[in-house]
Amino acid sequence: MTRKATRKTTNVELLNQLRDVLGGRRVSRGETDRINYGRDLWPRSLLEVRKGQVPHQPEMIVWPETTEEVSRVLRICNEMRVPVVPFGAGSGLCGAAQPMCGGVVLDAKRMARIERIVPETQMIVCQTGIIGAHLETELNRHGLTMGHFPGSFGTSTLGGYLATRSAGMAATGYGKIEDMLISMQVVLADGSVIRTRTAPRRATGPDFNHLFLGSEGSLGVITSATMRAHMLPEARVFRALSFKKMDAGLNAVRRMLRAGLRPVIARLSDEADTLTTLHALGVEAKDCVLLLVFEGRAVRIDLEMKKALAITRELGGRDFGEATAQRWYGRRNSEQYRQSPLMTDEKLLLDTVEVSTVWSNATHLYTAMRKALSKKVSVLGVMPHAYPEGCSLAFTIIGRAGRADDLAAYDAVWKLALDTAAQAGGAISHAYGIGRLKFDRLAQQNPAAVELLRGMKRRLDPNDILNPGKLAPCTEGAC
Amino acid sequence: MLKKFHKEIEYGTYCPKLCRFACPVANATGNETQTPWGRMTLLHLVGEGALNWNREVSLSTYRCTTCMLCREYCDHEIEVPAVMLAAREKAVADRMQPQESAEFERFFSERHNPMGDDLAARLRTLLPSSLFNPDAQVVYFPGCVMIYNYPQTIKNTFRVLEAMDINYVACYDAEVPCCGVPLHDQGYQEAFAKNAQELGRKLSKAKVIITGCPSCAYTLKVQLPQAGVQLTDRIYHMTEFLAPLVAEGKLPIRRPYTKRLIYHDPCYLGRYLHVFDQPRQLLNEVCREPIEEFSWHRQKSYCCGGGGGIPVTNPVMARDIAQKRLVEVHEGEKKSLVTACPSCMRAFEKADDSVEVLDVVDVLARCI
Ligand SMILES: Cc1cc2nc3c(=O)[nH]c(=O)nc-3n(C[C@H](O)[C@H](O)[C@H](O)COP(=O)(O)OP(=O)(O)OC[C@H]3O[C@@H](n4cnc5c(N)ncnc54)[C@H](O)[C@@H]3O)c2cc1C
Repeated sequence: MTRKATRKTTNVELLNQLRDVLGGRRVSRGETDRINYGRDLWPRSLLEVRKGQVPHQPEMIVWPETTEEVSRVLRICNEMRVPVVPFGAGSGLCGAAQPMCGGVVLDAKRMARIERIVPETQMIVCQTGIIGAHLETELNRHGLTMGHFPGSFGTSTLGGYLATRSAGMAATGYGKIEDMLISMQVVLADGSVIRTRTAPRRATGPDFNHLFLGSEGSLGVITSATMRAHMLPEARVFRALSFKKMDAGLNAVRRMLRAGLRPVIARLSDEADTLTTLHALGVEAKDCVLLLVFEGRAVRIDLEMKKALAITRELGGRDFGEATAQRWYGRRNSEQYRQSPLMTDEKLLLDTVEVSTVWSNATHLYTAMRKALSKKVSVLGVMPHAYPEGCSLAFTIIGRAGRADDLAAYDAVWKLALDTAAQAGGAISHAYGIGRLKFDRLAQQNPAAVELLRGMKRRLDPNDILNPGKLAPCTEGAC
Repeated sequence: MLKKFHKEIEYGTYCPKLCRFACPVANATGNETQTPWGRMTLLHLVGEGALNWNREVSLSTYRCTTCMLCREYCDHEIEVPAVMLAAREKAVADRMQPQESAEFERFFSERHNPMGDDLAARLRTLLPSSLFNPDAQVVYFPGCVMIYNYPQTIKNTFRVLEAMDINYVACYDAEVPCCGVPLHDQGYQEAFAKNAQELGRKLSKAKVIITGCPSCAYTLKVQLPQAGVQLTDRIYHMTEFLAPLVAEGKLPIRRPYTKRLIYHDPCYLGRYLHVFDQPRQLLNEVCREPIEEFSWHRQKSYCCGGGGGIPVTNPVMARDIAQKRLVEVHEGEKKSLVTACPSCMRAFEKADDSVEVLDVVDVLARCI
């Protein structure tokens, strides 16, 4: 039975009801909007659009402005059994915001109001449709920073960060988005609203923030959040170092963190990434380059940098100086732009596989991924984020489909990547989420967790209207 | 028309839309279709034959203010406005332009300007006849928006010039009152070219042209030559003309300007003509309080919503964009907004009549 068959409504009834809530201008079923809400930035969708295809289009798009409006929209859709896909800025890289079953896309970006900034306690309360760059600009005006700078900073929202457990470029220092969240307001599928409490720490049973963090729009619509911010740093120091082997670089970063040092950025490139990404950005260094940035109080960060350099020397690292690292920092977002020219080649495949693991397994995971992937594609490896217990590893993969269909070739590379990551003991996602891309692998790797998720989904969204097919199999299985 | 923009369209379709946060239209609407990425995707699909070139697609290309802020955040420096303007030209050729646009063009052609009034007559009643000299070498070109909406600024311009003992600047008689940019923005290239020819004849003797309108300055300087009409290459915005003279002490300042001001960089003056310092220099000469800056300023200034013909085709969107820009004006101490473009002034005044909006020249005039 297809989902459409379970529908209790026609499009016209739905349209009329949604218009009653939002007015005509904030509901669209125009063809151009349906096309542009038919994809996020999942590179597989890029391959499709390159061929002129946008296969999964919603029937309508709505732009609520308040929690109340979200609640009313969900009540209508729940009553009518119409899928609703929460949508931030569609920058997701796994197809999580793709409306696989059609239905209504609920774009959160008109919910972008900052409700309160409290510089004294470094907190901000705001609606979740706000774009990261706008949020940061406002915080900066109050002497604060969020410390969350994903590569998609100009085109992703707070709601998207929370719903995918995003990590910014400075996550080594400021943590991932889940470390910045204090409380949130969420609208459930039946339109009811729940709020978690704003308190520094709580011991009031399980933390429901974590139910919705990473829920990819499948358990509720996050409409507002209270976030922890940080004081704008007084100073920043930079260094480019290099190591002959990845292993030594990984070891250096581990030791820095164990010594209590907290660089905001510790980004380690393998040789291939140094020669392509870093050289293109004007970073004249060789081997495996570690870019270190400390920020905060000048006295503290100078001491931290001294200690970091001492560790580097002990491990045979080479110092390429401050200016080299500053050059990279000034152009650090440029690597996000390489996709467009490459994609004009109609056989080219491009994506980033990002995984994570504990330090004791980091070299093994890195080596296994590089070895497996290199058989099929060119690989640029990076360790973008580090934590006291381990790190993430990201592999930019660039290949050509050859005679094979590009979608089939893409799927084959990803299967290999995820199989290898799982076999080598890695988590199959560090920050980009699961979406459509990794769901099957997640279900295979951790059936118990998926079963639990399915149970929660059944409890919170019994009609399976919220982003069906994501994080739990679509109930009808026919989409 | 769109073939020559193949690279722009493909790059825009495959891009990670990192300019999104800077696009005034995208920010005002929250709609993905109204981002450079969304519009380019549609044009790509049309090119692939996967989508019909229809009115809905064409309308999406009219939702760009041509502010060019997106280019600031594009490593490939893709210029979205050029593509949108070419698409509008195609829309006109295929009769798929918005209805408002078609009506606007009819109105313009009948009355030779977007206001429908006899602007030359208005100008004659505004200034003494001695200021009009068809043979003058240095000509002030007021532009239609200024004549219709800000006659006082025109008067102030000549008061300031007089106070500086500058008597060699004559006022253009405005018989062809408009530079034609409103036609250009709506995709009427033929009508624009015709207007350009007529204007070229009227201004052929001028050795120096000065205007208070950045769009006029850009059109006369760049777009007229593209339509085959070459005027003098000495075309200046009024602030460029005045700044060095005022710096030399030529302006007799009787009293400083004491109220708080925040300066808005017009897109066409700033990003298109690279004039950032001169308006600030002029204001700094006469103002007691330091000039406040928007958080988005100079090269990264944010649009007022008045460009790209948006007020004609999408007036609500234009208002929303202006209101976003005005949020900072309302913060902190009471202040007036000062700019150097009559279209920006108009956009702000229409969006919020509680804000006092001034031209740099108005501020100078209050100090002499
Ligand atoms: C160039 C580029 C660089 C990137 N760099 C990084 C990076 O450094 N780090 C990183 O973590 N990610 C990165 N990403 C991926 C992406 O930006 C993140 O996944 C981001 O968190 C998605 O935010 P969004 O607002 O665009 O969400 P969308 O893509 O619109 O949605 C993502 C998921 O969240 C759900 N969702 C969105 N809003 C809500 C809401 N209010 N309530 C409930 N569910 C919601 C959607 O249903 C969907 O499942 C990058 C992407 C690109 C294109």
